[in-house]
Amino acid sequence: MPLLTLPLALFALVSLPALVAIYWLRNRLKRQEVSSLHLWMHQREAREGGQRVQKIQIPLLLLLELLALLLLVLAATDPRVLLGHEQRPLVVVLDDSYSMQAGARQQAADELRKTLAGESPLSVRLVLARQTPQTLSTTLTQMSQVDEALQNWTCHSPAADLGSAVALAFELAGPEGRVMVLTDHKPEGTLTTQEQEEHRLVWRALGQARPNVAIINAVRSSEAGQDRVLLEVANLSESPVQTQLTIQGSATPLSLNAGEVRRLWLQINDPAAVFNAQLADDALAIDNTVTLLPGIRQPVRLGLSIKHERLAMMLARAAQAQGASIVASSPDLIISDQESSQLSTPETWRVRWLVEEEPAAFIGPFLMDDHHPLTQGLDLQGVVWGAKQIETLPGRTVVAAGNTPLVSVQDRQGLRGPHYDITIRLNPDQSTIGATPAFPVLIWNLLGWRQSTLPGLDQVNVRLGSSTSFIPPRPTDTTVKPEPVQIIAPDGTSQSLAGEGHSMVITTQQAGVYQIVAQGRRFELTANALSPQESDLTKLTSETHGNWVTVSTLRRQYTSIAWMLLLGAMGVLGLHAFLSWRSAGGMR
Amino acid sequence: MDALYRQALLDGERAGARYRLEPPRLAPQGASGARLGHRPGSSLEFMDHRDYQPGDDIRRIDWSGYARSDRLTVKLYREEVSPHLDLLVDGSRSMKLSGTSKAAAVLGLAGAMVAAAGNHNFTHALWWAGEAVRRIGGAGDRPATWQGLSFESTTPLDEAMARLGPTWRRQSVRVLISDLLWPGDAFSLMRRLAQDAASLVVIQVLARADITPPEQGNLRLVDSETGHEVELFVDATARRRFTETLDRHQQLWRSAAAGVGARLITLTAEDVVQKWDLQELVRQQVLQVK
Repeated sequence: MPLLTLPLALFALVSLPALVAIYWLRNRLKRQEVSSLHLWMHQREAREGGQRVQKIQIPLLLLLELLALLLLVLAATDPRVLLGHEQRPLVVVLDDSYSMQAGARQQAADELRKTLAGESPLSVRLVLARQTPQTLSTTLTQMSQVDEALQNWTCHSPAADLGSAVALAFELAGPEGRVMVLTDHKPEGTLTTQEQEEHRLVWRALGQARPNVAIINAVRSSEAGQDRVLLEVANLSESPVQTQLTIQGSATPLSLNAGEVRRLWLQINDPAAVFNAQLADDALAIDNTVTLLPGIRQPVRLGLSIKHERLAMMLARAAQAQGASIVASSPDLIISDQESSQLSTPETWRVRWLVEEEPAAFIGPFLMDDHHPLTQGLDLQGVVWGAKQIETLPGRTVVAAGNTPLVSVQDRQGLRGPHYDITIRLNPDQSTIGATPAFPVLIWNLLGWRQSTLPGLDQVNVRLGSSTSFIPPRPTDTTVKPEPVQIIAPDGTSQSLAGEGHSMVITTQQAGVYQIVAQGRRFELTANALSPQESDLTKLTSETHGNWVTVSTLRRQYTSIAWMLLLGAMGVLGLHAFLSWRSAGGMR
Repeated sequence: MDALYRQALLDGERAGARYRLEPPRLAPQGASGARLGHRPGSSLEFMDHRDYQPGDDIRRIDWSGYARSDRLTVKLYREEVSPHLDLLVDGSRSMKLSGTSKAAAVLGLAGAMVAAAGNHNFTHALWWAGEAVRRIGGAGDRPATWQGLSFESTTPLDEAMARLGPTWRRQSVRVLISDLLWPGDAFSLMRRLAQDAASLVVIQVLARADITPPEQGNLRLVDSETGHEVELFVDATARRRFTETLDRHQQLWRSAAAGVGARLITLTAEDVVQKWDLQELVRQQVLQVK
């Protein structure tokens, strides 16, 4: 359909009824009675006057004049038609956040199909707006391809960085490209971008403000062998609401005031049990369910081979305080002040504690590698550290007193996965560190570092969209190649990753329980939709911002057909002149 | 009858009271009447002698005088005339053309002619040409007492006379009052009117609208008698052409009137009713001032 560049010119259409009025007034017949018509019946068929009124000609000429006027007015509007072969690239940003599940997703898909139906030829790319933008497709040229790509638009993301997605879309679209955003809320102020001013961005919000009750926070913690759960249930509406909260299969009514966030502390009797909480159905289902798995991360098995009594006591107390289990064989970490220990295995991290005789007392300054796991939160200010003054230690120095290395870490090569030999030079008899927090911090860091490299998940309960690390278990036979890790998403889809025994990061993209299978062992990970911003549906709106059509874009992309209309008007006027000339007698 | 018509008759009668209808100059031979005329005739009243001329009635030869003088003379006697006015009025619709004074002028002129005739001891008869020609009123009726006057006929005068013509009195003075605006055979009508008449006067009454063509514009002209319509664009040329056609029409009637010795007098209705001044009829020797 042609677009009118200057639609105000349509006001000139008032000339059409004006012309009709002129004709009507001019051709209106005045009635006059005469004594006899015979004096008028002898009027010869003259051209100048006295001619019988021939009504059939007047409408024809009038119609021609009206047609000419209409064509001239339309030409004045500078109508343009789309040049099909010069279609500007189109990139569509799809909001993938889970608030779109509250109805906007289907509307947005319909809107997209409707928009693409007017694109000829079809050429579109799709970008998913998640926490980080992601291209959903390459350039699509057929609607069937679009429909297929839209099946991957699941709207499970806990947030949508639309700004980054729009930026990516403009990069993909190029300088002349157009971008459409399909979301459920209006743009933030910062999104009034240059592109919008240049009429390249159309922001189409298709949401609808609704009340919603959601679980916005769920934390499971273990303390003294007892598991507790913190639940936060929010009434994200402007009116009180009555709902039902089902915990572990037991339903209880829940009354919430407008905007209230109810905090619930719940006790779990069986530390190994899976915790489930469920709210009654409402506008958004994904935030009504929470599943919290028990924390099953195994503690570090610590082996101690310490002859120095005071040091042994200090280490045992620190280890017990931090939940490590002191074992007599196959430890994950062994701390020894002996040259060699019978306890160690190839997998064991060895800490060689050098209690040197006649040490020097270092009071600083202590130099630390702040990025190393062993120095996190470690503060040695005011500490007297007793060690001999030497200048070299094997491995990488982590803590030093001046140029005297005190703690060093050496990577043990040739083994699968991280294995380290750590050297600590400290004579507790000549040091005050045992009386400061620095010692338990150092042991905490040591145990934590080791634990972070043990097989299993770093976290088993994460928020949707968050990542957690997973260290697959290694085969007992180090010569055997590890099996691929299989990750089964909540919707049943699975993927295999060749972990090679190294740590991997698992990012949750669906709410629910993930199954991770590695070396015959099964691990579980749950992701809960706990985003108050996404659960708050009161800000959703349905509106459109921006357009792609400007005079400049029209002129660039649409070709004018005003010349055709002018040509037509000239033709009509020529025909009008010919008919008038012929009516006047033509050539006499 | 319309009060306006009655008033017009009274106005005309009053105007005609100042005049006398002039008798015809040439009395027809063999006529006899109730009054002695000014010219020789066939009455018993002797007036004069004159020499015999071939063709004279030999019964009028004065044989006594021939015996005395040996000359053939004939006795001349005063003529004996019986003056009568046959007044024929066109009762067609065009005579009451809307927006004009034609009807009043026609009735007024009829009344005036009757009054003037009465002033000269004329008897009169009023003949009304409607769908046919019929007589209105009695011989001695005053115009104001005439009944049944209406201008509703759609039949042209010549056709009305053909359907049922008037029973004219021989040698009467005949006066026709009409607008003569129909495309009939003027010569035939004139001959019929003049047949056995002492004299014929045709008073053509036209409205100003009949003479003056309308202003420029698109007009739907409606024939007052037939109701037929014609739509015309009138400009200066059309106006000129109308005037030329009217002139030819008038010339036709004048020729027809002249052919039978009749006098055709054209009056404008609006001028007539304005002052009831009949001097034009006096100039044309139809009326005489008393």
